[in-house]
Amino acid sequence: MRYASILVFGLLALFVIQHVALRAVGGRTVKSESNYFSSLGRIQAGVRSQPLVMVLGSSITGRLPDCAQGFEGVANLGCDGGSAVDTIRAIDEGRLPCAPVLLVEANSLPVALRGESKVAEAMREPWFRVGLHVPAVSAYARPAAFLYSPLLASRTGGYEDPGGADLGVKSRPGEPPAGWTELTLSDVERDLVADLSPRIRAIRESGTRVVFVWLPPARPRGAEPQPWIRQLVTASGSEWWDIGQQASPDLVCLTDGVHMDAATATRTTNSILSVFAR
Amino acid sequence: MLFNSWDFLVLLLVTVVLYYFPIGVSLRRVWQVALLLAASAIFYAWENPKLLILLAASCVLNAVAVERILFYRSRNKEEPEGRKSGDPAKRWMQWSVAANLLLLAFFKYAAFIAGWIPDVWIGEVALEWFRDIPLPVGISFYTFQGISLVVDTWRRDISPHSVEILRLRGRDRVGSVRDLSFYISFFPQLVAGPIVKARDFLDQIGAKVFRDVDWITVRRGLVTGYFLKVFVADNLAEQTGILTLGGEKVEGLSTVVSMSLLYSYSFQIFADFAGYSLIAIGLGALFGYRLPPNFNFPYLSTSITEFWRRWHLSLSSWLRDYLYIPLGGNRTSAGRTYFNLFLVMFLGGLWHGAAWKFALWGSLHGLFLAAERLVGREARAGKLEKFSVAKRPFNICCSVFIMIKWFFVFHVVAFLWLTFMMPDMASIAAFLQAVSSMSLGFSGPPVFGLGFYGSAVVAYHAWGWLAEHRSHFARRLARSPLEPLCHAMMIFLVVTNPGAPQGFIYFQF
Repeated sequence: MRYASILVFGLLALFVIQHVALRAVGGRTVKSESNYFSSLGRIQAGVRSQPLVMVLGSSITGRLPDCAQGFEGVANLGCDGGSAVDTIRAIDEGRLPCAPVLLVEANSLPVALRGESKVAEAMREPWFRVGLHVPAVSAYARPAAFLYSPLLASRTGGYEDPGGADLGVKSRPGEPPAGWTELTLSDVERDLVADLSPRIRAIRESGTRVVFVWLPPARPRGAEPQPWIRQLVTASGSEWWDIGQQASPDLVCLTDGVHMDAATATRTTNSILSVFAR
Repeated sequence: MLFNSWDFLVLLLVTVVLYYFPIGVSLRRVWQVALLLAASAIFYAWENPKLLILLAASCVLNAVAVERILFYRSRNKEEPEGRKSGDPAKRWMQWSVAANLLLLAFFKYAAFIAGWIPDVWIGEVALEWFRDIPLPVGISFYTFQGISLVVDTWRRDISPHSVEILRLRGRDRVGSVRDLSFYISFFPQLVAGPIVKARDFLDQIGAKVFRDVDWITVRRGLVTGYFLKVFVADNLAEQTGILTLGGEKVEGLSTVVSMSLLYSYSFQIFADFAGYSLIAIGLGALFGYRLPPNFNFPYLSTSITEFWRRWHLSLSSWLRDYLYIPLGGNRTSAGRTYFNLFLVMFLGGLWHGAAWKFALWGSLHGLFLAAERLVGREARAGKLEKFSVAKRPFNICCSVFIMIKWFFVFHVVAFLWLTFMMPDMASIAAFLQAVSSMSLGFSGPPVFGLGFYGSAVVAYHAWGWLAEHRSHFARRLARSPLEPLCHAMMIFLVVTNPGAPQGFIYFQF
C-alpha cells in the first residue's frame, strides 16, 4: 500500500512538472534529439494550433519556424526522412485535420518514390492519435526534448522574431508553367501520380487551397522539378510557387548544403506569411 | 509477438485473468499449464503460424527421447547384470541431442555451411534455396532447453517427482507431454531466454494461486525491464543505427561521435537484452514461476572472466554444464583447459549467429579468457606476485589499479561489440579509422543520446556497485521511498519518452 501510494504520488508530481514546463516553453518543445520524434511532435503540435497555413514536407520544411515560435497562422508539418506525401495521405484519410491552405514542399517529393517513411507508419499508431489530444504523451512533450531544444538553440542560434525581413520573393502562387503536362513517367512515378492526384483534388474540393512550393535551396540553374512532380501539380489542379529559385542568394544560407539556417528559415516563413496571412 | 506491443499486453491481460480464474483444485494444474501452453502458442505463432510446427516438432522429439530414456533406465534396473547389453538410454540421449542440433543447424547454419562448398559442387539454385531457409525466432533458445531436458533426464539430474510425471504412459502420457512442452515453450522465456535448465523448472510446474504471487519480483522485473528496453535501448537504437550502414557512413565520423556511438551501442545491447530478461523474469513470477537471473551488472567487471559471470548468465551456465565440463573443463592439462575455453567461446560465438564475425567475437573473448587464466595461474605460482592486488588492504593504489582494470575490460567488451553490430570487417576497419582520427568535432544527437539515455545504464550499474560493496546502505535505500519513486520516474519516462519501437536484438539469435 505504501509502495503504491508513493508510486502514484510520484507519477502525479512528474506529470504536473511536465505540464508546467510545457507551458513555460510556450506549449511545445522545438526539437528532440530524435528526428523521428521531432517530426511527430511537429505534426501533433502543428495540427492542434488550428493554423491558416500548413506546410507539408521533409526536414527542409522542418527547419521553418511556425506558431510555436510566434509565427501565428503557420504550422510546420515537416517529416524528417519523409516527404509531404506522408501528410497528404494522412489528411486525405482523415487521420489529420486540414487547414485552409496547404503548402506542399516539392524539393523532397522524390523521397516518396522509395515508399512510406517511418513517420508515416507511426501516424497510423494509436499512441500517435492519443498524442494529438493529450499533450503529456505527445512527441513534443518528451522530457529529452526539454533538454535538447535549448542546447540546440544555444549552438545554432534561435529564430528571429516574426514580422522581420523575408526572402524578397516578388512572385505569388499561381498556375503552373505551360508545358507541365504529357510528360514521360516511369511506372513507379505514374502510380504515385495516380495515387496522389485524386487525393489532392478531394482536399481541394473540400475548400482547401493547395500550393506546391519549392523552398530554398534553389535547384541548379535551368533545372526543372522532376517530370512526375510537374505532372502531379497539373493533374491535381494545384498552384505552383517557386521561392527557392527567386530568393536572393545573398539571403539564403544553408547549414549543410540542403537545410536552411535559422535566419533563412525565418525569412522563408515571413515570405509565406506575407502572401497568405497579411 | 513483442513484449513491447499492444497485442502482447492484451494477450497477457486475458491470460492472467483466465489463469487465476477460481477453479477446482483438482483441475487447476491442468487448466493453468494448458492455458499457458495455448498462450505460448499464440505468442510464438503471431507473426508466422508455420513456426508452430517446428516448435511442436521440437517438443515431440524431446518428449519421445525423455520417455525412451526413462523406459530403458527402468528396464536396465530390472534386468540382471549379466544380461545388460550396451546402454540404450545413453544412445537415445545422444541421438536426441544430435537431432536437436541438426534441427538448429538446418535452420540456422545451412546457408552458412553451404557457402563454404565450392561452386562447382553446389549449384546457384541450391545455394539460393539454402539462403531462403528462414531463421525461426528463438530456435537457439528452445533447442538448448530441449538438450538440457534430455541430458538432465539421462544424468538423473531431475527430481524423482518429475521422473514420476515424465515416465507416465498410456492415457497419462498426455500430461507428461504437456508438461515437457510447457517447459520448452513457456512464453516469457521462449524466444530470448533466460535459458532455463530442466532440473530448475520441472519441479515448479504445479497449481498456482494468486495470493502466492511474488509481487516484488513482478514489479521490479516489469518496471525495470520495460524501462531499459523502451526508454534506454529503443532511444539509443536511433543513434547507433548508423553503425549498421557500412564503412562509408562511419569513416567520416569524428573521434567524439564514433566513441559516443560505441558506448551507446554497449549500453543499448545491455539495456535491450537485460530489459528482455527482466521482463521475462517478471512475467514468470506473475504466473508463479522463478526464472534464473540473466545479468548481474556486467559492466562492473574488472576481468573478462568476471564479465562472463555477469553477462548472459543462463547461456554461460548452459555452456559450462553441457559443453565445457563434458569436454573436461579445467580438470585436464593446462593446454587442454585453454583449448576448452577457446572452443566453448568459439561455439558460443557461433551460437549467436551463422557468420564469421560472431565466431571472431567468441574467439577473441575465448583468447582473453585463456590469457587471464594463464596470468592467474602464473600469479598463483608467485611469478607475478608484484601485480597481484587481491590480498592487499584497501588503499588508493589498489583502487586505481582496479579502476584501470575496469576501464580496460569495459573497452575490450565495447570494441568487441562492433562485430555484433557492423556488417563486415571493412566497416569495423573504417570505424577504427574514425576513432583514431582524433577529431573533436561532433553532432549533437549521438552525444546527447549517450548522456541522456546512457546515464540510466550508468545509474543502474552504480546501484549494483552499491549493492555489492555497500550492501548495508543499499538495503536501507531499498526500504526507503526511493524504490517507488524510481519506479514512478521509470514509468513516467516509458510513457512520455519511449523510443521508436524496435525488435529485441537477441531475437535474431
